[in-house]
Amino acid sequence: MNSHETELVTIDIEDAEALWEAFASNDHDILAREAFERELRFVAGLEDEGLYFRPGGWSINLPATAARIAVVAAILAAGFQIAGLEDLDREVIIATASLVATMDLRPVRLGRNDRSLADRLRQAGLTGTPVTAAQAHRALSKKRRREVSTTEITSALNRLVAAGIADRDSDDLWVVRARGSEAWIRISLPSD
Amino acid sequence: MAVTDHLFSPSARYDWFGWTVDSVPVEASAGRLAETHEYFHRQLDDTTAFGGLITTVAALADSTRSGEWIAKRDRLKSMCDIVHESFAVGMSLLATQRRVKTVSGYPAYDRYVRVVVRLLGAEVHPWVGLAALRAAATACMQSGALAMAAGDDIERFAPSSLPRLERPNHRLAVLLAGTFRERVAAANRMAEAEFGETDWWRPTSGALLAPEALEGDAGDASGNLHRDLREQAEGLIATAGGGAINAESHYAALRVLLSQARALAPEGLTRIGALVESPGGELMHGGALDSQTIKLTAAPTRAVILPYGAVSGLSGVGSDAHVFVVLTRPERIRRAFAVVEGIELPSTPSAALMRSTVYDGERRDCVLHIVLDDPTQMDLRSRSVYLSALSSAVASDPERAAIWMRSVDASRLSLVMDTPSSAALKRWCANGGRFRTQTRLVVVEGMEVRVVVGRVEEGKRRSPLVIIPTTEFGARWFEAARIEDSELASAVFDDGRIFEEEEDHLDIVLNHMLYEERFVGTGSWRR
Repeated sequence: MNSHETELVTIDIEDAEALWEAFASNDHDILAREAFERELRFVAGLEDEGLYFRPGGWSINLPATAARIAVVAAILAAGFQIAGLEDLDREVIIATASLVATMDLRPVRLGRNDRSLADRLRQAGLTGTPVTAAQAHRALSKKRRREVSTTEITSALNRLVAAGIADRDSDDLWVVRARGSEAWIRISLPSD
Repeated sequence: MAVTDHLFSPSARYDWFGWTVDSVPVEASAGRLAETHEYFHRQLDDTTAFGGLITTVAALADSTRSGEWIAKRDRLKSMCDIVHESFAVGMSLLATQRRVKTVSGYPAYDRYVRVVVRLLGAEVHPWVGLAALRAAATACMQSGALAMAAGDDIERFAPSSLPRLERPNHRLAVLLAGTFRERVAAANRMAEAEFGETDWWRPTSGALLAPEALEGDAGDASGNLHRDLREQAEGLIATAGGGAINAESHYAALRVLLSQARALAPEGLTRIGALVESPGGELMHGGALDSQTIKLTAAPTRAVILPYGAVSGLSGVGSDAHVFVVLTRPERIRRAFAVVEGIELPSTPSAALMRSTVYDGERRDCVLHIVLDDPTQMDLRSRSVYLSALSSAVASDPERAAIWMRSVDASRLSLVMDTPSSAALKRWCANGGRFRTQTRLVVVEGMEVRVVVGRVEEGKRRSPLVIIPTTEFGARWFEAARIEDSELASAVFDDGRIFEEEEDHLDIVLNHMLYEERFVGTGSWRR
């Protein structure tokens, strides 16, 4: 068991929303959206008998492997629903998800500042343009520039890459993707 | 797992048979929203074909605990959950005078609010919204699935055999993709042209929907609008290739399905709820006084069971000293308390137990139950002895219950309803009896419970003091049911003197009930 398998990952309702938005950009396909949510909650162990009206959202700590399986199963369930395969046994989806999840897949938690950096770069017309951390820093408001360092901008850009909102062009250049064309999830093979 | 909890945002759960709610703090209007939400789940299942199918399969899953039936129930749930949640979210918002907007503190329901807005439009008048949402949800749930299951025989029925357009969620997707919203908008324009100048269309009281909007001519017009929009929704679904069943015409198939289901459950379908409550297999819609379970928080979580003679078991001190005997089902105690210590509970269907609370200083430490073997063990005629029977114990063990209940004077005998009550009230009053009643709010450690109390009187005969613990929602439902249901209307009479007349008795019974029971309500027999 590698360290990722013992590591706990937190997934919450906002992660689920963000993951869905990255996958489908809206929830007009109500059948796929519900299949996604149903499977995510089932594999994460959140599904109980009955229909609830519960306050708050949900937040669950799962071993990284289980979290990977839950996320992949949710996406697969939505995909199968769209493909018209909604009667597939749940076990088939989970087994497939388990295979896919052997790849390293970890949710990336973006802060409000990370997202506003991406928004700022897009507003500055830098979508699709390679930028350095210093150029990204200059795209911020004067007030904000005084509050954050270029090093912090470098870290934020790297988090945007991990979240699929930007790509790394070279060691010190990053490219922010256009809204709606974000990579819905980053998958990398484990190094060990 | 950590499901985020908000201290004063109540939660509720519907399980196809009834619903469970937290007792809510005084002033918590969210409690009404939560309970109204669960009530609409129940209403949708009780009144539609797909609802009849899933509740019957749920009853089989519950009675047999077979993995196969549980899987079938969950599969059917996944075919109707968007319709169910959207209906319950939208109807509960409108019925509690809220706009169809996301509810602060309940983010998991935001997407159902979006579904309702897509379905009806954002600017529809609540009077039109209520009729339109019910019409859409009913058209989605009135599919041919029930008849197909009954035709296959429920034992052989496989949910995956259902055509897509007999599945409610798919039917809803058809309405969302089609012109239902435009039809609702047209209905809204017509309604505004016809009623726009009336007081109820533009209430000045601050309410979004005036009560008069659903009464008299306006109520009749609402019914017509609902029928018209339901037919339009059915037409859209039929055009896409789905079948449509007229409202209520699915009951014949449901009776067939129920009889097939009964044959598969050797010990009976005791948990199907209101569907088999009425005599002769007549199907009836369950209301708040047939389905509620209310979680109480004042009682200790530990119960101690001791034999008669081990300790006194007396409650209260000085002039308040008394003996409180409860006739209940041992199973109810096992399920209610987290820890049950002491001797084994009797293995009989019901048991008489002397009950009191044991204190550790000011703290309520545990609920003490002393097992009584028969009524001759103590002087039940003494004025300080009170007997309170749970209605589920009386139903499950009538002979033992009769022996105990005859041993106590009726002035100190109560019947606490933990089973469906509206059918019971009708039965008790069928031969000219009348239920003289009063409802009051009782606050227990800051949490509110409504208590309906009364006695059935017929000539010189009078029943034990009937006590129905409920919520604000349940009390309102009871008021409405007495107006709409002619049998209840002629049998039930308000009498504002009852709490005063029965003051001493109620003081004893309500204190024991609300501080020593973990769950109360007319659905709590299932716990």
